[in-house]
Amino acid sequence: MAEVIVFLIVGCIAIVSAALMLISQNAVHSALFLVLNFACVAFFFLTLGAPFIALVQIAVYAGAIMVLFLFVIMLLGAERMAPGPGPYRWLPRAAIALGLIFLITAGGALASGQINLQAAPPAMPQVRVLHAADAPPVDVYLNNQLIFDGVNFRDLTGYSSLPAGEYGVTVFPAGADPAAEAPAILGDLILADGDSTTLVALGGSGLYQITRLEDKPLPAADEQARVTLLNGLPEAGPVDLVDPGVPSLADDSRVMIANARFGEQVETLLLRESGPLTWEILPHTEGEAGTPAAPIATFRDLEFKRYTNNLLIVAAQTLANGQTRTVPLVITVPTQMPYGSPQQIGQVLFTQYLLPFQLVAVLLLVAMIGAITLTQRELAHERRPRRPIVRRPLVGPQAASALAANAPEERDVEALLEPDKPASD
Amino acid sequence: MQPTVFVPTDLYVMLSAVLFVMGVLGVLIRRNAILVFMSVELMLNAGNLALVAFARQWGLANGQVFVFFVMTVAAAEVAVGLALIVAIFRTKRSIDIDDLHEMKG
Repeated sequence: MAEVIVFLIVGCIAIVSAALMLISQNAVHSALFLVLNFACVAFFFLTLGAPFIALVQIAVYAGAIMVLFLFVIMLLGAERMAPGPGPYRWLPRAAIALGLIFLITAGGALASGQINLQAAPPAMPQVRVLHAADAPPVDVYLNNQLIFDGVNFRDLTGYSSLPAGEYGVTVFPAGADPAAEAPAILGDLILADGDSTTLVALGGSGLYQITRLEDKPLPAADEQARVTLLNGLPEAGPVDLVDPGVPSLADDSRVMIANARFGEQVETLLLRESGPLTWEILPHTEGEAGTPAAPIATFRDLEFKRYTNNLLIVAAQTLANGQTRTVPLVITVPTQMPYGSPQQIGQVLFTQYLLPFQLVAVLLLVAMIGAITLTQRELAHERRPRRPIVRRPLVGPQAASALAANAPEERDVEALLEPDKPASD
Repeated sequence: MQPTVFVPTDLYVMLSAVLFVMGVLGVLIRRNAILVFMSVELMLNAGNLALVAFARQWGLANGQVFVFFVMTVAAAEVAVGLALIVAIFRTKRSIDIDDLHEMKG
């Protein structure tokens, strides 16, 4: 409730300051009322979860652009439109009162913490599908509606936005008729607002299941890569993720992720450095094992960049010749930055809006050149008397003779220059 | 999920509409060219407010990026517009919009 009251007070100040800007007879007063209005809008940006935009609003709009306005007003001496004091003598007092009310309301609301500035807005839940099961392409139905069509092995679909609610998930071989055939996989899914979910189809040799993974954001201050292991080998039992670079005597640091059961999303690993890594998948061994077991699979050249969430799925694949091999499937998503933060805006700006960004930069350049040309041409017209060009004395025998011929002229030029100097200012 | 009460987006959009209409009024009523420019800024700001409100409504950052673009365009517009005003003032000694009727057909 406090938020609505603060909104109403600051909204009234914004409207009143805009009205006073319109009726004020003095252009400087108008500009200052507009600054107050911009400050109110910046406060709204803050409450709308856009702190970066709010500060840019203060710095660029209320700062740079309004200073430019005031500068031009003062330069042209255009602050008074009508002679005399004008009909609104109470304007300065109204301005002070409005400014004080705004400062007290905004400052009090921000200081008391009544207004939730960090609240991430609820977005539509998003779902995507990864096919990591040892099976032919599949179709995925949510509530008997075909959402993902013909997903191949190792394929990761894009996100699909769905309304929040409860869904029944059924997976069929690609092209199958859902009314006639029995689904390969059955599952339930509850989606809430703000969720980002990846459904992973896992399994092999008749044992399939669907696992749900939450794509959780990582704290933005953390410059690390997050790696999550998902065991997709139904026959192998629990596995360990082992870094073979560490000597086998130091068992504690050797095992990076331990005891990952089939279909389980186990433990998160935070990596600071991200060179090419070689990891092994071993059968899980409890405590002090005498002889280390043979690795199930060795993954080479794994790379994880910082600010990414990585899901490492160990999946089995049956090749055309009947052999089975174990492959790593890595899903990498950039870390979801907090809503409205500079990082998130930069991420969107430099991924989705790079071309508009460059066009706007060109537009600014053109505007800059245009402003210079517009004002410069006027200056060139006003300067009428041109100064005589003074030649420097030439050097050499030919120049000496030329200088002797022109000597009286040069003296004239110097005589002309002296009285011209004060006249030109 | 959180029990926090947000100010509904409708209120922000209504406020934005009011500010926009005031900007339109300023452009139509005032004759001082600088005041007209300030009213245009007011309209752009009202648009920005609506963009940020809708960005929160949908939980996407695209609206905020658009505000960024609008601010850039506003800066370019102000630079050129004020240069125009200065140039007009040099020739006509006035920035009253009613004095600028050379372009009348």
